[in-house]
Amino acid sequence: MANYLEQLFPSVYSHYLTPEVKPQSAPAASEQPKLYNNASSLLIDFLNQNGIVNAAVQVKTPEIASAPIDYHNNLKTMFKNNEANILGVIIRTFNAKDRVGNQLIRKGDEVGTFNNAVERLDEVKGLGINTLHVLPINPPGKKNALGTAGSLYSPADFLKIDPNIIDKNDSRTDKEQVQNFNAECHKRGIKTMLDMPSCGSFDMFEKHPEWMAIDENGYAKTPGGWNDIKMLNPWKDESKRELNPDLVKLHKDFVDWAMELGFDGLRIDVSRTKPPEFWQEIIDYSHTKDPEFAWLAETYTYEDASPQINMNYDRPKDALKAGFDSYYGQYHIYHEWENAKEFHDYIIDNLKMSYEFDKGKSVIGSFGTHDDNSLMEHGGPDFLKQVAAVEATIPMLNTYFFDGFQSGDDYRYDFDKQQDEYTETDSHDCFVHTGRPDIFNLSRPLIGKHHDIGQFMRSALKVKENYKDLITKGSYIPLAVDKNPEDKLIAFARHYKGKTIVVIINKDVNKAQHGSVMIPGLSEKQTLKNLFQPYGDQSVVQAQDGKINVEMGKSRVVAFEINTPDIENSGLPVYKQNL
Amino acid sequence: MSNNFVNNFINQAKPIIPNIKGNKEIATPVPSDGYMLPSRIFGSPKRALKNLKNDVVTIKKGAQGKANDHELGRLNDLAMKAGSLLLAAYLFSTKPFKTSKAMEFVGFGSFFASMALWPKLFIQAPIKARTGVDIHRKYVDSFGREKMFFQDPQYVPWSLMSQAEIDKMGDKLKISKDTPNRNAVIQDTARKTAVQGNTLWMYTAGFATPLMSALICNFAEPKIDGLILNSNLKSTQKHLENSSLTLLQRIKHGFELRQGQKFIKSLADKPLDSKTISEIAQKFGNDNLSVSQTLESSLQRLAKEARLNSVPMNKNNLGEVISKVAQRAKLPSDVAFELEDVVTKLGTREISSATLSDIADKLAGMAAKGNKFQQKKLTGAFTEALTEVFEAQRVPKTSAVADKLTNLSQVMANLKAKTGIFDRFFAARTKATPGTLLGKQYTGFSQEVIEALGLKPTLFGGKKLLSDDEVIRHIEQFVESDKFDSTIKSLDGRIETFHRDFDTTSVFKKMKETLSQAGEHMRGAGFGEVADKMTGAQPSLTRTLRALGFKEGEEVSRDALAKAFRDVLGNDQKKMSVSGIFERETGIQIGDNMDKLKRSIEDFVSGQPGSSMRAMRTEAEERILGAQSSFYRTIQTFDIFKKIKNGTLRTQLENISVDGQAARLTPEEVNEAIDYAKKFITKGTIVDHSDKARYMNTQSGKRIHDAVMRVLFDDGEFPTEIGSPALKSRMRAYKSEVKSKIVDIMHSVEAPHNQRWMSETVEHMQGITKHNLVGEPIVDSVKNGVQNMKNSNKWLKIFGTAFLALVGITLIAGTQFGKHNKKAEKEGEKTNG
Repeated sequence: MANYLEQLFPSVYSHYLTPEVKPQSAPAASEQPKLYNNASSLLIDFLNQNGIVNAAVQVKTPEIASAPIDYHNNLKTMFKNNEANILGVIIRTFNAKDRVGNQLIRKGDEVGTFNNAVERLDEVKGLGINTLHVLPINPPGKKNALGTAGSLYSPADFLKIDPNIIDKNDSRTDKEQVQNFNAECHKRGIKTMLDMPSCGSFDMFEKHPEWMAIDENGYAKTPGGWNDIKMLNPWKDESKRELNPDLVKLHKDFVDWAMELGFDGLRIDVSRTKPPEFWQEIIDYSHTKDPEFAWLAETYTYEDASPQINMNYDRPKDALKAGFDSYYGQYHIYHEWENAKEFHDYIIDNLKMSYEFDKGKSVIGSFGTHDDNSLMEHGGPDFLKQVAAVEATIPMLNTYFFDGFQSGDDYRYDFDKQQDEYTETDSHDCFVHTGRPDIFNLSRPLIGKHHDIGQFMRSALKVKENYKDLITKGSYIPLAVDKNPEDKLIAFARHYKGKTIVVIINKDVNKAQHGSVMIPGLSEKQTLKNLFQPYGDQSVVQAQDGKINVEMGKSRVVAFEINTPDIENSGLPVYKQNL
Repeated sequence: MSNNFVNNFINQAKPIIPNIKGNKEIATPVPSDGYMLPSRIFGSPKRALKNLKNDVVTIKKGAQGKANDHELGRLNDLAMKAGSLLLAAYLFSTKPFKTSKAMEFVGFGSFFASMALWPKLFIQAPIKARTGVDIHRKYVDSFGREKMFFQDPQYVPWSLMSQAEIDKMGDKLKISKDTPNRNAVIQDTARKTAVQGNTLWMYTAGFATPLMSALICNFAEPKIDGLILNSNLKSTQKHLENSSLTLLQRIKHGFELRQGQKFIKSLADKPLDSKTISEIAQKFGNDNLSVSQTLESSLQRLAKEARLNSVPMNKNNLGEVISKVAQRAKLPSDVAFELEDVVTKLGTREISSATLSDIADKLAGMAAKGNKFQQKKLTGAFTEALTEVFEAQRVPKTSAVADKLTNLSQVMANLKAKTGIFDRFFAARTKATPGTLLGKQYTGFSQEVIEALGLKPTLFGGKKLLSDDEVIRHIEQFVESDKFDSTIKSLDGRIETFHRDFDTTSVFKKMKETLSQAGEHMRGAGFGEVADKMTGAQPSLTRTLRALGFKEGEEVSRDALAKAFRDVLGNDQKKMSVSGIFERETGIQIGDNMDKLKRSIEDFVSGQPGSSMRAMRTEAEERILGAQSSFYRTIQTFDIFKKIKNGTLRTQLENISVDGQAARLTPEEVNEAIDYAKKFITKGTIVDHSDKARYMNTQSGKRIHDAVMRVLFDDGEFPTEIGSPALKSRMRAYKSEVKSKIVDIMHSVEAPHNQRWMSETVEHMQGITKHNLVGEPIVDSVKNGVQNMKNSNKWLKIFGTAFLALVGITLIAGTQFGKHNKKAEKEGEKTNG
């Protein structure tokens, strides 16, 4: 175990061997001494068990940063260059301590806070992540709430921080603790995006009716199926397309607040709840203060109309036109795509669409988000590795993973559909969306048992790093696969300035697939060295003139650098992003 | 305190110059991928075709399990239409008459038309007119699929509708322009209106569709009749003109006869059981299901008769039966000897089922040899076996009824021939049914008279029964009304048309011409020449060619056809000649020159006594005569009533000399004569025996009768005063015929319709009924006509009333839609706490 930890966290491990310790907050007298330095919870637990570290009882109030460094946000450029590798995290669970072991964080446990989240940042860095998507940090509404803590997306106040995620033992203000967290991220080269909820809670509706959408009977509109939240009203007069000035001001205040807290961009929840002119105004406003402030829209695909009552239709192009840098896209249904054609068609559609807007618009690797069931359900650890490899190699994409992906968390909770006496809301139901990360309760951290996934993920992002220009700027060339009647083998080439890699994916999570990937210009003497770590069932590849014969294990992905400098002129269709 | 790892930009003192162009374009929503279709009640055929194409593609998707809800819904619609069409086609094949055949498809079409029209006309259009909301507005989505805009109230693509349209809807819905969030209120109200409209549609469609469909069929049927009649008239004329078909029809008749006989011979040894009966019925059924079914039941009766008349079971043939059963039961030979005793003891009495049971018991006893239990079991088995063999013996062989079957085949062949060219030609024109030319003209005349008399039954009114006196009263009112002259003129025109259409001279002239041509072709012609004529792409020849042994699509060469003729007609050298066949089949002698041929044709068409042509002609002429006589009688009735009204008849009766010029009618007799004339001309019978006694047996009565007959039928002395000169001339001829053939000869004026009057003075009018000569009395024709109109109105009344009620309820319900909560609008916001 120790060797493993050493491999994973070499700098942290060596740091712990030094005699000097710098705890950041005073532990409560009744509690065990804890370490609040830059270490993951895993390591801390291990070390604590071995009794290596003795923390002092009384500690000094720590300084926040060491040397003054001019930090400049460049997240917008990172998005534009497809360089962002994003991890979605829920602060109140990220580094929570479920000591009691019932998966709910209650007395005797420790809620995740901004302070203790810092302990895992090295781990995050080690995975290859350079951007954190921080889910909403506002205090949830308590009335008509879901769950015992309230939904993260049902804020009572947009400009306050949830007291749960603030370390009460730290004398710093809540803002300062957040700023410290962001500073620690920035130190490690990790950007942060704050999530802004799309709607308000019932509490908010009572306090600020001027922000809310009201129906003709005077009732606040509830988006169909989301009964704990109320719609905000972006219009003063929709027929004249005049915006609601109160809501515009609120959003600008939120931007200011986020910037003040140190965030580098915003992830907008359900961006379609406001029209494009609304977002244009807010985004432009943000760029007057920080031209690199990045904007990520949660928008998926064109809808003729919204299937959800009281909710607007989804139109990604509207968001991109308004100024968003990137959007979610449809990768969350990747597991439903039946064959290679659907895969290629989607990527090509996006590449073509990129020419309708300013250069550098992109999609994120939304294969699994907090709104999706664990990817483990779709094919186990091998499937997650496939996803990581795919994300690392497809064009026009900033990679995205949700916390728990790296260890194969199945997002199942024992308290699902049960009640708890303790609650912070008016509900005692421990509501969760079964199979999805819990955003309704104070609950366990998202850690599974398959840490090999995180290893693979790191290696996949390393491949992306090593072939940075090719992956982020190169052309996309779909390759035909012969003798694969089920069309489950996806093959494509990426090419940039004479350099080519070919990626072959077996989409079938149940069985091996074989076929011949047709590659004009390929020599049979080509050496095929897999850029990815092997995993799962063995695969066999063989180069021949003009093709690679493959027998791919289920869910396997392989990638090779090949010598085909003229592949773009071979007559195959070539697609490029508007960069 | 400041944090140097928080973004430096925000903390800078100098404001950042915004990187925004002054005249930057406002980010309005990107135009939608779909589009609205124009708001109209009826869609475009082009789009309907496109939708059909998409639906066909969807069939494949459905089979692969990849169709979504919308597509499955459309597949359901498609399947419903296809299934209904197949059903209509099947019913089409079973119906005997062309109109009823055609109505199957009209029914199919009207049902689906009603399904589409009802919501458009009575729900969509009124709601749209009142509220501006087109609840069935359509749009094309981003996948190119046509859908209803309000189909799913939770999925309304408002982005496709322009703001101008939304505002217009809002104005019509009377939503104030000052309403906060007016768009949302308009959309919500429109959505609710659509839900209400669609709900009303669902509630009413189940009733409205069959009602509307029935009404459409009711109105369409007469039109269909008309179309089919025109088609029949043209096709029968065309067939007559086609000499190849004439010949072929005759050959086919002969062929059918010979084939029928061959067929019966082939069945000689088969038992006349259900299977054989079914085979015969299908063979002779003329490809008509109802005919085959009728034949089958007749044959079953024939078989039953044959069975009853077959040789009764007695001890001689019973011995055979028992020996068969003994073999089956594998009885030992000593038991078989004992059987003979059983048979001997039976005597000669006829075997019944009771006897069989007795025999079975004895057989079982012998076989069981004292074992009572086994005997009981064996009794049942023997009874079953005996009954089975007994019954089998009693089924006669087909040969036993060969004669009757031969007659049947001749009858059916004749029936087929009867539906041949000449029969069809006459039937289309002169059969006394509404679907023929004569029927149509007769009905038209009758209906015009009924309308002129003011007796046309209304949809919702009219008495149940019309009395004779009421009809007479209406005639009296009619003759003094303003429309009398115009009606007479119109009826006159109808009579002229009738004569033109049924001029036997022109009809038979055409027939003679075509037969001459046929004969000319036949003279000296070989099979090859005839085959050349026949192989010229005639679709109607296909069946006959197949009957001659040619397969579908097989090229029919002249030599092959010639060979087929020879094979069918036998090897007789004389019969092999085409002209020989023609002569034999038609009875027309071609001869060696045109004159002989023409004379022969003349005789043929004239209808020699005993010829089928004679029979056909007589039948046709009787029907024509019956119709035209009825027309004349009607005119005569109006003439008489007019004369009564203007006093002319009174004057005529006062001045008419009676009793051999010696006397005049007394004033009382004149009055009575007028009443008698009215009664006679309108009803045509003496009503009861007392009237008969008065006018036949008393002096005064005879004088009155004679006087009335003269004023009614002596046109020279008392001419018809209404109508054109041509009509008056026809009336003269009519009255003269009736006078000479009925009035002057027979004193009894009762004319049961089935009584035949024979006259030796008119050669070709043998068998003409008195009824057809005199014509139907106006009271009868009016009462029958009114009843027919009422019958067809009856259903119209029921369905029409129900339909109108439904329309009323639907329209009233529709006026309640499109309301929104104005009170809330005034009172402002509420909470939902």
